This record gives sequence, C-alpha cells and structure tokens, in this order.
Amino acid sequence: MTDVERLFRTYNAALVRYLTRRLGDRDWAEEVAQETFVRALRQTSIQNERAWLFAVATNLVRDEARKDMRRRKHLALLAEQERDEMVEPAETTLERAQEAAMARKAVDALAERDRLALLMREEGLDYSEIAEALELSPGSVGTTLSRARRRLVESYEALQKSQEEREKNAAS
Amino acid sequence: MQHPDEGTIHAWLDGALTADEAVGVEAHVKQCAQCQAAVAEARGFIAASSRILTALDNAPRGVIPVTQPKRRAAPWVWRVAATILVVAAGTLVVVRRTGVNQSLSANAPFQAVQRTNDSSRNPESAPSTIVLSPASPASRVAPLNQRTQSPKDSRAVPRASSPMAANEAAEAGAVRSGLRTDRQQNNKIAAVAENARIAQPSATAPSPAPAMAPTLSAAAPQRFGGGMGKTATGAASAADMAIAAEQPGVRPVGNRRAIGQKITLYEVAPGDTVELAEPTQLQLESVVVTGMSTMRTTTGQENVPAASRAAAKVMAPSADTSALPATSVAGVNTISWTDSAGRLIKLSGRHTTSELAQIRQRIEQSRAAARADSLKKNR
Repeated sequence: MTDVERLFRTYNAALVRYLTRRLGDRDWAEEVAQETFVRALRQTSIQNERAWLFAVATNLVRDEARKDMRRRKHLALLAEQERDEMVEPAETTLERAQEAAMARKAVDALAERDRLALLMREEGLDYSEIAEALELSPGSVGTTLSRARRRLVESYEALQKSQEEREKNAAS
Repeated sequence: MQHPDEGTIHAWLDGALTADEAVGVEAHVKQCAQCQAAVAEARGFIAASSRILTALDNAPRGVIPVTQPKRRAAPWVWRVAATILVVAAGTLVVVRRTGVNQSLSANAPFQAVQRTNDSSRNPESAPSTIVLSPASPASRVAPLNQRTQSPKDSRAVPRASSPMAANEAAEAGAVRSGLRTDRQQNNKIAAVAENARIAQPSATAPSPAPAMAPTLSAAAPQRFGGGMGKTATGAASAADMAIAAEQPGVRPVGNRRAIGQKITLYEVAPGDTVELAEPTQLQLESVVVTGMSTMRTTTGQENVPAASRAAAKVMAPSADTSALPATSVAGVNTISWTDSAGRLIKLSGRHTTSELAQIRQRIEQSRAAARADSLKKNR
C-alpha cells in the first residue's frame, strides 16, 4: 500500500473517533489508529479501504484486550490518576462528565459486535463495509444495528433515571 | 406486504436497502400506523444513540503511557538518588578526613580569584544577607563549563585547566540544570543520579591515596559537601547542621527549598540573616551546608557569571526574608571565588567586599568544624 498518506488523511479522524469511543481514551485510540495505518503500509492492496481499516483497528483492539488485561488495568489506573490531576471548571464539566460516564457505561453494556457495528455505522461505514469488517452477513447488519441502538438508548435512559433518583434522594 | 422487522426499518432509514426493498417498505409504512410508530421509534433510537456516542468523544488523553514510563520511574529514581547521595556523603566524610582541610587553604589563590568589588577576604565584621550556592556534584558536565563561562562573565571562575576547571564545569552544569523546570528536573533525575554515581568514584579515589591528587581529593569532598547538604538522611549532614548551629555568627535559622536548590537561612548576627542557596539537582529533604562553596545574594546577579545567574534566577523566589531585599538591589556586593573543589562560589550581601570575605571565612570555618566533628562521630 503506497498511498498511506491519503488513507491517513481520509480515514484517520473517523478511525480515531471510532476507537476513542470504543476505548475511552484518545491517546490509546490514536496509537491503535497509527498501528492500523502501519499495517496498511504493509499491504500490497486493499479492496475496501474503510472496511479494512476498521476491521484491522477492531482486531488490534481485540487482540490487545485479550493479550494484555494487566496493561489495561494499569492504564485504567493511570487514567484515574490523570483524572485526579485534571483541574476542571466545576459544574458544566461535571454534567458533561456524568453524561460521558453514563454513555460509557451504556456502550460498555452492549455486546461487542453490536457495539462495533454501531460505532462503525456512526463513522459512516455502510452496511456492506460493516459486514465485511465484522464478518457479518450483510443481511444481519440492520438487525445488529437496530438491536444495538435500542439497547444503547434503553440502558442510557435507565442510567439517567437511576441517576435522577439518586439526586432526588440526595436532595430530600 | 408483511410488517418490516426492526432491522429492516433501520436498514431502510440508513439507506441500506436496495431500491426495490426501499419502495416496498415505504409503501407499507405509509399505510400502516403500527409501522409508522415503529419507524418513528427507530428514528428516535438512531438520533439518540448518535447523541450518546458523541458524549464519548470527550475521552481523556494521556492514559496510554507513551512518554509516561519516565514519570512512573521517578519514585524509584528518587530512592536510588537518595541512596547514592547517602553513600556519597559517607564517602565525603572519609575523603575529607584525608586532608581536605589543608587543601582548602592551599587553594586560597583560587578562592580569591573572583572578587566583585574588593579582593580582600580577610575576616571583618559583616552580618547580612548572603546567598551561598554551591553546585551539586556533576563532574561529567564538564564541557558545559566552557559554555557557561562566557567571556562577559568577567568575574567568572579562574580558568585553570586541571581538575578545578572540570569541577567548575560540574558546577556550571549543576547550576544550569538547577534552572530547569520542576518537571524537566524530574525527568532528569535519572541522569542526575547517574552523574552522582559517576562523581562518586572520583570522590572515593583520593582516599586510598590522598597525596596523589590533593586538588581532586579536595574537590570531591567539596562537591559532595554540596550533594551531602541535600541529603536528609546523611548522619554526617545532621551532625554538620548541629555543629554549624553552634558556630557563632553563622547559625542556620531555617531553610526551605526552591526549584533546583536548597536554601539555608543563616543568621550571621542577631536579626541579620543570610541566605545560603545550594543548587541541587536532587531535591532531597534537609540540607546541610558541608562542602558548600558558592556564596552570594540573590541580588547583584547582573555581575554574576551566567551559571550563577541561572541559579540566582531559580532562587529568586526565595528572597522572602526581610533581610533579603530581593534581587538586583544596589548596594549589594558580590565576591566570588573558586573553592578547593573548583566550584565557583559567590557570596554577596549588603556588605563591603571585605565583610563578605570575612563572612565567607566564618562560614568555611564553621563548616570545617562541622566536618571535623562529623568525621569524629563517624569513626
């Protein structure tokens, strides 16, 4: 693959966003994205670039996750430290942070395949690309996505509700 | 047509159906209230999930330890550095014993070289504000010396070749690094520790054969005096501190740390304090001014060689004592010299240069006494 620069320019933003949403950390996401493009360099030809890139990135994440649970734990620890060190302008950030935390939880609650399909769809991959990247049958992508969306929204709303209840209890 | 399933509705809304399929679904939905509701719900899910996923985009950075390892190593490095300094301090004590004191006075010419206004260094009376800033051990940094001592540093250390120059260089390096920001410094700790480790052998070497290299042997302990000063754990340091406290005229009344240095406050006369700033590369706990060699105030920096100016900059925030009217005040004199360890020393304060010279001697004496005492204790 000689045209990595073009690939990078075209897909890096989407790939990093996808990975960030998947991993919850932008640096990690960027690292995986870079590794993905490095892999692309070694390819002599790629048929569907976007599907290929997302598939490779997804596999990198999966392999890493499988291989290195300890590292992830460590990273989580570091992330915690980092958060502790962050100085945040209180309220709006708090709200946003709560939202992000709930979103994270809701996304994490999804089945991996549903989650990936959804995240890929959000980055504009069409059904055939998603099917290719995730090795699904094209006909099942709609079902996968509809399930993913419904579950995501439902669990997010459930989280919201319990959050509101907590706040209500705290207030009373 | 049958009611399309949820997946098909999503696929339709996503534009993923073939034209034929899309037409079929559309036709059905138009006439099926139930499916219209399902479509509305699906639209809601699509929009809501997009929104939820957007909330994930504020993900924190810096979780991946790309450059982090160094930072994580810091605590470990600290421990190593502390150990090294403790060992160095012990070594210093031994070396000192082997005739440092005599080489101290033997090196007087060197020491006298750098005078600001007046070259007299005879003791007189002169309590006031003084900043003493000896360099930390870093003999490796020698090449830096040449750079630091730019021509405009008229009063820069004597450019003796010899070990002295090397030691000056070490000091210059130390001072320069003292300038670094906290973080940088943290990152450099490993390097510093390395320096210390390297410096250490040179300190130890003379002790088996003191006669071989008097200058060096003197230099090493001196350097380590500086380093030792930073070692909270050094027993000798504590002893020194105690002894120094007993010396009339130069009584440490307090200390505090600034970036890259340790500042000890001395009372040279009642109500008259002096600041002793020791550039440190490793900021360890308490400081004892054993082999300290540089004395000067935070004032009068403009007359000071670049390296010391750097140090002065670092310690500028330290000018909090009432006796210290901040930097760059007129009426402050500075004398400088190189000690037996080849370190550039500056001493300045609101005194005449001869007074400063006297204070310098007092400090040196008190230190010598402290050293001697700690040697006794250690044996």
